[in-house]
Amino acid sequence: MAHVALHNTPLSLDAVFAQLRHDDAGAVVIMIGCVRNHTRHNDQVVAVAALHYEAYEDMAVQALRTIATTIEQETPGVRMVIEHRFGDLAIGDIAVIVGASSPHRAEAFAATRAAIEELKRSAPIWKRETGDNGVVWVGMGP
Amino acid sequence: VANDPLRSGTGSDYGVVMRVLLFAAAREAVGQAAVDVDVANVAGEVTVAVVRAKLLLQWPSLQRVLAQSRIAVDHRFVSDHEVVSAGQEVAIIPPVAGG
Repeated sequence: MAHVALHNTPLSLDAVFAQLRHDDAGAVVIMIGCVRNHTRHNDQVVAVAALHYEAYEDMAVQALRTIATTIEQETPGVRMVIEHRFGDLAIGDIAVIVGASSPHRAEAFAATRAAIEELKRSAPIWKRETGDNGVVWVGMGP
Repeated sequence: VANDPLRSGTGSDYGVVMRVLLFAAAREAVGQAAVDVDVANVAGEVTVAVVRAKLLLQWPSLQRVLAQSRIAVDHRFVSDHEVVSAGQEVAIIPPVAGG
């Protein structure tokens, strides 16, 4: 049974692991996305001081649930957890945790990878970087 | 009632205005989290393309971000051909950057 959530407080790796582990799960894979101290802009490395995440909460939770339940249905035995942070984050803070458990490792790795990639495509969550490049919404073109 | 500009449409009719939610760069371009688009004088069906055009007429500052944005109706991405009614939740979704 998939578990998804958005939080404006620090994410807990222990809580995610607790949701994923069970007696049939021989493998638990967890991907943690952290706030990085630099970004790339026009092929230049630019220092980042802080990040702010904004979410369209109702739609984002629905999007995460769709991602997680779709993968669970496509891969029997897989259990998914996706949690995303919003609000103000500092360098090193955890922005997202995506995890999957399954009887064997291959399915757990594949599910985790598929979920984070789809999250980046379809979850209505935005990132505003503050740093040497000024204040920018990540992903906005000219 | 049909000409009351403050009336927000609900249910099956189009109403007079359509509320559109704004996020991230779209919200900053306008300076508010939602806008009411006047669709009272639209001949025929109100499609997402019509809403986009009306938005640009009323808020030209949205031009840059709207050109890069998807539109969601009731939490689902839709094409510009989709017909929308005022009772639905319409939102501008600028390029997303989760994760």
